[in-house]
Amino acid sequence: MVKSGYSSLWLISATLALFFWPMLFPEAPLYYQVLGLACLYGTLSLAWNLYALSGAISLGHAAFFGLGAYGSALLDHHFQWPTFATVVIGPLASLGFGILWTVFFRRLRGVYLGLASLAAVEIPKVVIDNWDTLTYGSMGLTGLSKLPILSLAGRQADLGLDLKAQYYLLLVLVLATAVLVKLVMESRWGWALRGLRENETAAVAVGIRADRERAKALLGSAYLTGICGALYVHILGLVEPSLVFSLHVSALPLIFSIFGGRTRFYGPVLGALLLYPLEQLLFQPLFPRGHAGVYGVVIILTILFFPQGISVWKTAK
Amino acid sequence: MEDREVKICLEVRGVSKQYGKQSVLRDISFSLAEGEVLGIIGPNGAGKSTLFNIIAGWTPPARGEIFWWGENITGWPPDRRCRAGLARTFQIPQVFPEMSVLENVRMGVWFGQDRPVSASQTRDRCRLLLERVGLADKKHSRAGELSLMQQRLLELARALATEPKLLLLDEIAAGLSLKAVKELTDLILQLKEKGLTLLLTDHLLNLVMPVSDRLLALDRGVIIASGPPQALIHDPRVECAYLGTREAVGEEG
Repeated sequence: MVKSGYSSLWLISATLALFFWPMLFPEAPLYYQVLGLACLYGTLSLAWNLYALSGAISLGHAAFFGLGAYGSALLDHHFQWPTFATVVIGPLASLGFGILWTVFFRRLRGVYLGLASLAAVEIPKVVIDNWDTLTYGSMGLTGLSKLPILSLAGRQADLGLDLKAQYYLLLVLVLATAVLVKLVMESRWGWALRGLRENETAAVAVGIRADRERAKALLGSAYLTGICGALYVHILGLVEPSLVFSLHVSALPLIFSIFGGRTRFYGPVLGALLLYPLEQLLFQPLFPRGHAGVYGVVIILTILFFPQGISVWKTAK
Repeated sequence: MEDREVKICLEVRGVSKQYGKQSVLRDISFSLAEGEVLGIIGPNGAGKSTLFNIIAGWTPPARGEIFWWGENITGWPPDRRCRAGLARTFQIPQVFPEMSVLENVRMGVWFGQDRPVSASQTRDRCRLLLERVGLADKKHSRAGELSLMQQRLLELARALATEPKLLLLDEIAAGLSLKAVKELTDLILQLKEKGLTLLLTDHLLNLVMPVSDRLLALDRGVIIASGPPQALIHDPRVECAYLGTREAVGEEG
């Protein structure tokens, strides 16, 4: 296990590196784009892990991602609301689905929750796929607003077209989310979630309201995931059901979190920032067809050799 | 029995339970006075654990009701009962394995009651409780690495941290050496002197005998006898229930 002094030194160095590497590479749009998306996936992983902190492993976060994506895209397409407003308000659809989730999946644990959550993605996907008049069905929506131009202290940053500015936006987002998760984990609520994760029987026996605390974690997780989905479609400028409700979207935050370590607040971010660029920059050019297979290999190796993730670095028993 | 000046804190009224066609408890009724220590004894399969789980809220009764200071709590979930002052321990200790001993106890202080506890109060209470159960020098150990006896003590400290009015101890002596049982007995006697109300189950008698004010003997889901410990164990019905099942002693009831 890393000593906490070294650990915070590493974290500060890594954060500084993330802020300053673009100065060494002033013209590297591919790197900006890949690392920007890695930050977005880092945020998504943190959101997923917020629910996992309570011991619940979801295989269905694509539902929240997709609903946030469509919520924002439809407000943009039908009402032309400003993008920052749609990104904040659109994910309320994810929150609504989260409320249904907490009601119907209240008593499910472990594998049963996993299977139910996997199936849950199909509900919003099928609805959106078939509600042609509202969503244009499987054709999806194109020409969505890109992220807006931000004016700050007399300087302008085009978050939609300037990939470097976009990278910084997503970097700030992931760091802010990580700080938020750290605060949650250190709060009494965070300890309640940890209690539920380590031993739900004991948690209930000391008076923790299991359903309520877990539901709060899920709703926070759902909304944050929805925001990631909303940002994602405005970065791409398009949305379609098969893109945002895919198994890929559910699996990635799980892979990044398990690889990075679920019990450290920075674990999921570490996973996303290491694995996503590795897959995109190294494996995609090498294996254009099967590059995502690296995730499968990585997750098997992680579970075999450091089951608590690389941020904990304990070897398997 | 005793005079009725005392206040009744827990009342069990006509509780029955079946699992499938198997009747586990039949029409159980008794009450518990504030400050009283009641032991529930009986051979394996007598229904002690089921009764216990019904009182603590982990199993719903098929019929019957549970009253807590006159209020019907039959439908309350276990966490709510804990916050209302009804704490329990388990036959197989349930600790938070990755947390330290201190952190385990702190969970009880933080979540065991509705009113908030300040940081300094929390520290003091944890220290006091760890000293009382004799785990003060282990406070930074991981709970999952403790021995069975230490986990029992930790669970006891954590249950006490919720500031219970009634503590339910389920087979707390199971699987322990005689020496450990003696230590636990002394500890429980200390709690009793402080006025804590206790409900214990045990299928062996070496712990319940010295600490209980009153015993309730259960066999095949019915109360076969109740009364002061010395009188009860010489009751022929109790002897009969026990002698028939002696060989099974050592398994969980």
